[in-house]
Amino acid sequence: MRVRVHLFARYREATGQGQVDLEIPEGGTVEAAWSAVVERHPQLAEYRPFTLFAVGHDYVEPDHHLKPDDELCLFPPVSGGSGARSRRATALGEASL
Amino acid sequence: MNEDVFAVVDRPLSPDEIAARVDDPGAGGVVIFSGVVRNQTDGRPVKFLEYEAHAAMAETKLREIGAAIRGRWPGVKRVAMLHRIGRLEIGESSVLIAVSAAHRGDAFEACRYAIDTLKRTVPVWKKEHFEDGEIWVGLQGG
Repeated sequence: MRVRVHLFARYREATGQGQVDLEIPEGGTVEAAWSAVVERHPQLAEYRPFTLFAVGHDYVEPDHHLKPDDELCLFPPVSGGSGARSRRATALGEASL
Repeated sequence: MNEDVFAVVDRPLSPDEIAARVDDPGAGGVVIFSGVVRNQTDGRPVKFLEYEAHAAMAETKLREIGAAIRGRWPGVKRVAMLHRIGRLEIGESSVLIAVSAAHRGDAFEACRYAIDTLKRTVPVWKKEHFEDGEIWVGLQGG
């Protein structure tokens, strides 16, 4: 099935693309779509633990099952810059929630 | 002008304008929060910022915050939340929130709730531009 993936902020800049169209197996999960995106853009792999996912206007979990023609959004880490700084800042951000 | 306002905009934000949007004859207090661009991050001078949003989802999430406020503080009369995107200079307002309520306590609490929740749920990112580089951060980092 076809799924359109939208990339924001640093993900858009890192890949040079605002969106990616994928073919993934019927009933595939958000996690499967993420893997397919990383296959094309390996530079995103390190951000996986900090990425937020949304379908439509709702946040979804990685095990959420996608439907044909779903539009999946990949949101970058909420804080930080370089990998190391991002991990530290994200941990602090979560701790303060 | 009697609807709550939730929007992502690419123009300068005006405290006077947002105050007018929460005008209500039953209000005894109006609290306005303005988030502004700071001139440094961790001691590093900032030249300017760029904000980017998933605008449609951001407006949905702002609306959800408004609905939650209505449920939690029945004394609240009106809510307005505006987030600016694009390039912002030092001192400019990136987010404005106004809450009017019958009594000031509700207005202060609801406004605090609105900005704290916005930073956790609204998909907006900012890029800090320094003399010697640039860095993407989420709202929680700011």
